Amino acid sequence: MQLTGLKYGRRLLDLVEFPVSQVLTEDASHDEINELIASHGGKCIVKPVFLGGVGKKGKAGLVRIVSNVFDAMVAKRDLFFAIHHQGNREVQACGVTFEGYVASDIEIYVSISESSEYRMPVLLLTTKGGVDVEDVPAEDKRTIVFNPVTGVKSFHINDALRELKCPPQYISSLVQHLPKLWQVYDNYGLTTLELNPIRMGKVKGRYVPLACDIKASFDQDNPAWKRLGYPEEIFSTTITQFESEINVLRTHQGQSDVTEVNPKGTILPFIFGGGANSAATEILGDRAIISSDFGGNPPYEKIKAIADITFRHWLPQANVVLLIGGRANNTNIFTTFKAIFDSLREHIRLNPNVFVVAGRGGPMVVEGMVYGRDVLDGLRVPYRFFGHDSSMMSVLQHAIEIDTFLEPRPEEVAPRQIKAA
Amino acid sequence: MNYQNNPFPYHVGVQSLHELANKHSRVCIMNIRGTESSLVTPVSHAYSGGNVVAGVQYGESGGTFETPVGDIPVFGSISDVIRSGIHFDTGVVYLPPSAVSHAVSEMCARNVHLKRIVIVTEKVSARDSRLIRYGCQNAKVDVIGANTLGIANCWDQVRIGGALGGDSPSESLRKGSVAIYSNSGNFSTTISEYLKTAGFGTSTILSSGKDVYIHFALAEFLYCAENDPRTKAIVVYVEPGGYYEKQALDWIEEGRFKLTKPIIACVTGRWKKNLTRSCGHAGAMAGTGDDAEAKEVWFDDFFGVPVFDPARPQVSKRGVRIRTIQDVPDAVTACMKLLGEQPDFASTGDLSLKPWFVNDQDLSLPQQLRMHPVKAISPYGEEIEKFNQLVGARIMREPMRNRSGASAIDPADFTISLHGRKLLDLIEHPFGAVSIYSVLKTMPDAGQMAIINPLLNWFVARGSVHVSTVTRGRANDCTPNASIATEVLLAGNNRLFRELRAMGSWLIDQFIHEVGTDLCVDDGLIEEKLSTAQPFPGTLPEDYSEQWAEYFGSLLRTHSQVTILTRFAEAYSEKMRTAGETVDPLKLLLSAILLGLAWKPLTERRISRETALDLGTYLGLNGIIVGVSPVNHEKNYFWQKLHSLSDPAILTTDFSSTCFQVLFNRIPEDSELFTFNALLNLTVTNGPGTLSAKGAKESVSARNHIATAYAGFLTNTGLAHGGNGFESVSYLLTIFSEADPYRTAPADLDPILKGLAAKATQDFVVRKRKARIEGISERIPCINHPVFRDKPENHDPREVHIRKLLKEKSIVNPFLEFYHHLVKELHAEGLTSNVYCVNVDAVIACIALDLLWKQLNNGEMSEKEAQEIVFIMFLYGRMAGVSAEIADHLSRGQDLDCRTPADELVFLA
Repeated sequence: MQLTGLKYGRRLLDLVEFPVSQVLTEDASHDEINELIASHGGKCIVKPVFLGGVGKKGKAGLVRIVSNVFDAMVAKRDLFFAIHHQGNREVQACGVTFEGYVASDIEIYVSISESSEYRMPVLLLTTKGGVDVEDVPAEDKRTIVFNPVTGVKSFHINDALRELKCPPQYISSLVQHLPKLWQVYDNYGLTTLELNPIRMGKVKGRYVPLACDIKASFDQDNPAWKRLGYPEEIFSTTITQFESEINVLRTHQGQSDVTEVNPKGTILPFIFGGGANSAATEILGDRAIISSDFGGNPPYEKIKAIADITFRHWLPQANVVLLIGGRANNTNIFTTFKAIFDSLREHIRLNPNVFVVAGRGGPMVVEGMVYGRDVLDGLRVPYRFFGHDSSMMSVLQHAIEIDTFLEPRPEEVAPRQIKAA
Repeated sequence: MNYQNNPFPYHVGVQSLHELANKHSRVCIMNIRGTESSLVTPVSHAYSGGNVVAGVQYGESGGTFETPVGDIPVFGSISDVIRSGIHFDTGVVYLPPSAVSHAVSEMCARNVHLKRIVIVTEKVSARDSRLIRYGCQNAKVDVIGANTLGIANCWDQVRIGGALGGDSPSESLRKGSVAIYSNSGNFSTTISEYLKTAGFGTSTILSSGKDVYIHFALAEFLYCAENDPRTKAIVVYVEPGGYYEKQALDWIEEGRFKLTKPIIACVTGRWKKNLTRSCGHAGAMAGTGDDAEAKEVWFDDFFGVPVFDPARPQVSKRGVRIRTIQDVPDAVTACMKLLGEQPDFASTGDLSLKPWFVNDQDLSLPQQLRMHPVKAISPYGEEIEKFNQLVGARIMREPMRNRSGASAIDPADFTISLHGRKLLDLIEHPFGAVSIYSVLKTMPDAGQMAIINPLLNWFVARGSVHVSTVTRGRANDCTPNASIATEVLLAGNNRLFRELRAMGSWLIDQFIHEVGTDLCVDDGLIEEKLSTAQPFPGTLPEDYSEQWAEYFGSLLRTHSQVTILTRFAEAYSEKMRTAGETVDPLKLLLSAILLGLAWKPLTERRISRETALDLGTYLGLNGIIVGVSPVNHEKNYFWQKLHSLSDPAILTTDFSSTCFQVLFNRIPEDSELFTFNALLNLTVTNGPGTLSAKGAKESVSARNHIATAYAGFLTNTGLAHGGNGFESVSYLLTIFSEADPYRTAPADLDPILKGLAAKATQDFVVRKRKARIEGISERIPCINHPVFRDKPENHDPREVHIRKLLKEKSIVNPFLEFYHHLVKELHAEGLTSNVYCVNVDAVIACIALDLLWKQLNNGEMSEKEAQEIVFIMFLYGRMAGVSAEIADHLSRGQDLDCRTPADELVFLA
């Protein structure tokens, strides 16, 4: 769960009175924009609003600096529904912000995140911000390791800024404000908080660090973020309709982690276990409609509910329903298989031509497979069940081969001859 | 043991993997009665020789937690444990995430002897993890997890924490020389299984967890593995996110600690690069430089050799990276070979594809994808064998009220299906075949029909014996369903039904495990069975049993329908006759024929053993319904012939024709037989809500015999259900009272029908006006279906299908054509807002009237008889559908599962 940009991000900073550059949203009037431009040296910045975590907007040419209302409106029109590509993801903007331009001779980058190297939270700081921090030479940035109970202190910031040769006129205000970020980070369930850039503006004659952009990641397992009262939809680009239905079933025992991989895929995998999730999804590639981790010994009712949602969404397009996992330590195979096959039986009318491949081991595996076999025989659905003495990877490859065979091939008259009786 | 100097800039309390968990470890479990602990702890405790010394359950104190190797004392707090004098060095946490950091604090604060904590709980927040890290570092306590399955020491047979090795750890966790470090708990066990195929066991297995914080990470593990004399190689499975691996490899490169043992590393999760939230392991989220590809590079650079290729295995002394865990056995073997080390034991099994269960149904797969079941490794193979001994489908029992596993209704177009096939697709099949299909879920082929027709007719002949019961009922003005039901009820669970069932069961036991799905004659096996089979209890032959057995035997041979079952039945009867023992040769042969029909769906587990054995009962009851139903049996020549069985040739009559001739007392024309057959098939079922089937199902749920359930079906029909076909017949008779469509030249028919429709419309206007004045409703039967009514011109797709079918056969039903003119005329006159559809019910009435018309008009049949015939036609069709519902309910339902819950009952004052 991530957010970017000041439209929503400024709420985090307001909580600790961290100064933020002036921001207007897309519904701002011409007068308001005029006033913003006038009070910021004749310039304002127009940025598209993306929901979820979206970076590198500047590099993609999606940030405009304008000096009059007319240009601001043109920028608004161009950017309001801008499309941005990040890897193989395509995201679309849903609004713009008008942000006051802050003239500053330095740009600060600051972030707090969990460090696997130090096994503690760390604060990363540079006065050469405004760019990707990875591109900043090591000597120009400092990593501050601090006591996670007491948090980052002013002296940590002061020492780092002095080492970075920060202009002295800015140090005092930065030392005053930057430690506040820890309060936000620690109290609201964040795993990353990044301000880039912070520009040094002047308020009543004093230098003040003004946050000009923000990125934040929230810990799904820490409910503290809910106290912020953000509307659900701001995380919506990262959660599809299917995922949100499954997420309702999410508990601390896991068992219902899903990600939509390819809504046009043809293999519908029920994956059990985090390792299997990682490995199986990799091998299935774009054929996988979803990636899932339904391990953790889910009770019947839960896996049945999951299967109901999953089949309702995806069974019609699936060539292969795949049940895959290693040799379960704890998960009762009979319970999970029974729930999935009961659900399949209830939804089979959506696609009676599906093929089932299962590879699994663990407690009550034979009972689970026998149950599946009996249901599938009753439905006349073809199947293969492999035990844990078959390589999971080979089972996945086999599922892919079956899927390839079942793919519609218009040049062939009858690639599938199913169910004579 | 001289260890390297502890190289870590933070507290690590162990020097060797062996120290992590061993037979000296003493464990206390937090939330010992929790759901997961309740399952796992007894197994762990037994496997580890009873190493759990105490459990904590908040709010409970003083009890014990039972395990197979003795009770574990349960306390209300850690303080209570310590006060009781129990010492432990290892804590295991099974609490929900929000309680974990508090429990860790409690253990650290109250137990000064604590050395390590294993946190099994999943989804502990990053904030709590960093507090746990901070607190445990200060308390000098090692933390494994969170989200770990714990640690297993296969040499000491100890596991601590979660369920490594599953419910039979001694099977998976075999002692050996390879240590496993895995981000995945499941893969920890799976890798140890894979290693066994190359002859390698494990020393210590650590499931590290894959949260944002891994407190006991790869560097610590490698350091401890180097110091562990049991370990010769290390298998590492990791996922994206975090720099733990880079740090470990960098420290080795820098010489912070040394590692002389090879690492076999597997990194998966390239696809996670673009995730913006976790799926699976919470910490498997890549940042900028810690995605899967980056980790692959870290390892490849460290090893100095490319990724492992099983075809050309190349490894370095430092080890090798593998693409998937499937390559673990080969890669470990290659590394060990380089070191001059031998496997720990003889390899067990391999990782090739070994399907335990396969069924391609009727899907034709290319050769390379075809598979045959392989016997599973022990003990699974033996378990599967036990299940395979169970014959037929095993369906979980469930409530059947308003539910059916036999019939379904498609909400999109309201078409009905039976056993997955649309009724509309079934209507061209012979009704006899559909009767068998209803029970067995498999449509018989033409060869089988050569036996099935005589079989069905034989049951009709036998069922006709007590026709006098129905005659008496008719004299008492019973409706046909009532009088037929009486005879059906009296059939009970009679000797024929019982013996067919018992003989079928005996035959199943003789052959099911010997012949599988193949019923080809095997004389050797028959001989063997004749000499070894447990004798079937003697049965007294009925009159002419031998002659009829001979007739059916000859029929089987003529039509090449002999199976190992029928050949054995004949040979067994002969053997008994020679030995002077009594067995009814006809019943034995019939049971073999019936079982032969059921064999395929039975062995394919599409039907239960019970259903297969009940086939004779269903057909027997169908035979009674047809056999006692002629409206005037004394004048019915066909029925007389069938009843007396004076000429066996009559048994070869097509079963639809039998039904026709029993009802109409004449031989049908081809077109008549086609429409009659279609009509029977069309009325087989009306979906799961079928009212007549409800009567049968409620009777089943009260645990009655099948005959009683059939009576339930019959008594749930009546003048408003089944008999209502005559309502539309009556309407059509009025309309056509002065115009005989069969005396009109085909070319002139359409204008006449149009004229009749116009007249009927005008009559309807008058009747409707009158009805409005009287405050009653007036309607025309069989038009305007409640579902198909929203378009400018509406059609019932079922009616459309059948009308098209009739037209293809050049069959013009004048009554149906009249209906189509009528709905258009009603709209044209402004009586309807759109063109109503002609319902499928109209088809039934029109076909019935078409069949009755001539006999009714020339006085061969009275209106009352015609009314009865329409009703009985409905019963014929429905009896097949009801047999499907009863068989389904018997296999799947529970006692009294049709009962209405008390809160749905309403008293109407």
